[in-house]
Amino acid sequence: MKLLLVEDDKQNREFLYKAFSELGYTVDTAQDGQQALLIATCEEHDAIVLDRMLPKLDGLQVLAALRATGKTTPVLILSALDKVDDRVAGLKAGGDDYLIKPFAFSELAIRVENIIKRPFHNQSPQTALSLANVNLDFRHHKADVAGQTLNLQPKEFKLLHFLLDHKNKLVTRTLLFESVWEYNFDPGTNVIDVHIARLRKKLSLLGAKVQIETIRGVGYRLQVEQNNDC
Amino acid sequence: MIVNSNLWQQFNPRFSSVWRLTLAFATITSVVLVLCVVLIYQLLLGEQTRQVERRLNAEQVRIEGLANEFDKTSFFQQLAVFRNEGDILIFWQSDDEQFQQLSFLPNDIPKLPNTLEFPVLDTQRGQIRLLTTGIVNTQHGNVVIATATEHLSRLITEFKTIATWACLVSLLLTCVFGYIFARRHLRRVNYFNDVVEQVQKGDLSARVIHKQQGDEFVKLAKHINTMLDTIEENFALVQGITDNIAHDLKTPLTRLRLQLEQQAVKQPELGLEIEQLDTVLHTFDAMLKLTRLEHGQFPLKLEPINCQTLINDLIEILEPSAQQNQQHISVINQGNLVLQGDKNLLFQALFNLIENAIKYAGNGAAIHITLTSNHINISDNGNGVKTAQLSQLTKRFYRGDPARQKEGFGLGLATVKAICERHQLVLTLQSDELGFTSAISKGRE
Repeated sequence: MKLLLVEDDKQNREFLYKAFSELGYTVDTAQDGQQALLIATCEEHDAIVLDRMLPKLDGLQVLAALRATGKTTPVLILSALDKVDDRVAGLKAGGDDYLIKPFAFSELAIRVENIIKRPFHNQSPQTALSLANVNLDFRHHKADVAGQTLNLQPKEFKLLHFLLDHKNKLVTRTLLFESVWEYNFDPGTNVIDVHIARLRKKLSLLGAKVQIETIRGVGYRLQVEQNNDC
Repeated sequence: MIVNSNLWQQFNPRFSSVWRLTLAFATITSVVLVLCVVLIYQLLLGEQTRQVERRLNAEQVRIEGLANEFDKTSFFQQLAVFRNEGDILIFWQSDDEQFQQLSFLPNDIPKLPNTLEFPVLDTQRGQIRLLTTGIVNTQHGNVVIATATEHLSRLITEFKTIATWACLVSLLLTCVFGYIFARRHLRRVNYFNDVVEQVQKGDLSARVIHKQQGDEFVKLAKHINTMLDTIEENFALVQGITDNIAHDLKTPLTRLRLQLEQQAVKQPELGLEIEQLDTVLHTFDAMLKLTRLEHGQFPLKLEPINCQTLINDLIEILEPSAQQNQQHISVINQGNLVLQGDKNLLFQALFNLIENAIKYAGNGAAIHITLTSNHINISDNGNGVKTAQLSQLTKRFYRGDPARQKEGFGLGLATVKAICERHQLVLTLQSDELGFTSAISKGRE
């Protein structure tokens, strides 16, 4: 997977470069709009992470120029401005997703992954997901733990679905809320924590061999239960 | 109803200065017109009427002179001579002789200078004539003198008819043209009002379209546009500054957050710091958002919102939190409320209200959400707040006594209020011995 990272702040750029490289991406970097446009048009990338405020050429101008040349590379816009109209403008200009600074890297990673796989998503729709002894059949809206039916409310089902979709990865609160409840809003830690706690309880009652880990300040991670007995 | 009241507003002089002006103008015109008519009448027809009177008076003087000069017989002989001269008719009645050409003579003819008008049939000409008559007392008996005034009378009648019609038509014309004139001006004034309202709603790019040169309205339009240009420029300037601050602040914060996050995976105790950082950021964003909302800079994505769905979603999200406090949320559905609004903002407003109830109503409280076709009520049976605090609650950074011990930053209700105002909704807060109630209701349409 090849990624183009456009960010004018040197430290952030280096940090993101390192972090994305660790995830196995080949990363090109650009520090201003002109450079970004040059690299983006000359080479093929799977995704572009584009800062909104850039020297020389504004992020949206880069995006518009890129789209004008017929490139359809998915673009995720990073912005310091949290305004609805900015978000709309960004998405209208041809951006595929929008993330407000400061952001959690885990959220950026998942969003980048999402925009890369979006075009292929429709071709091979999955109908079931599973981790350890937890199975989720979302075509029939059923969940079970080792054959025992797991009774979930619709949103809990969506929550588990989302976590399974991103198993072993950190998912942030806002990402979770946006995908499960479909409102663009940050309800605060407590509200989501309580929901996770419920789901966790339901899972453990049926002896599920998975755990939802809460990493404070970062988010949640669903993974196979680790035995601490040894 | 609405159409009627609009029409009434349009015609009610109290609501429209231009229309008031037109009415006043029409009244003045009518008064002047009536005065002119009266004046013309006096000058032309009044003069003729007086002339008739003078003729009769002169005749009276002559007859009286004759009566004094001659004895009875020669007096009547003289009269018989005069009778055929000019257009004055003379009738008399004496003991021995009666001279009367008329079939009918009213009995109540007054003594000159008073006169009486009456119609008679002129047998010689075969037409009805109008006579103005009066009696002259002489020592030889009463003499009736008369003059034919049917021409004058017809003239007066015609004049009156024409004058009445002229007055009516010109009054009507004044009203019609006045109304058209007033409408045109009203439309221009209303157009100005519309533009200003648009600006008030946050669209700073709205401008009054006007001709290059023209009357006071064009001048006013130019001034308004210049003013809006300045405001927009300043706004953009301030906007640019705040955006830059946001950018300059957020870039280092992004660094900080990214690094903390990386380390937090290995050192979970750092999570607390990240949460605190997030709280700071959240407050910062909430302040910016509130400011934008209050200044109408927050564009709304309007769509019909079914509040039932919103409430259901909210309860789904917040019920676990309520259960943690052993609280129970119940919904009473008395009607369907559909609002034209921004989904995310309305969601946030209701979220804040319900979350407040959960936070402050206390353990074991009951929270009722009532939905009717024009309002949403969220009430709890907690301790409420002091009445004196109620008006303070919606101010930014105000935190009531019970709130100080809980987390939060005192922007919740201020944001709810700003969102409500942006949607032309009314936020009402109430507190009594039964608990605290917040309500969002549709304003007057």
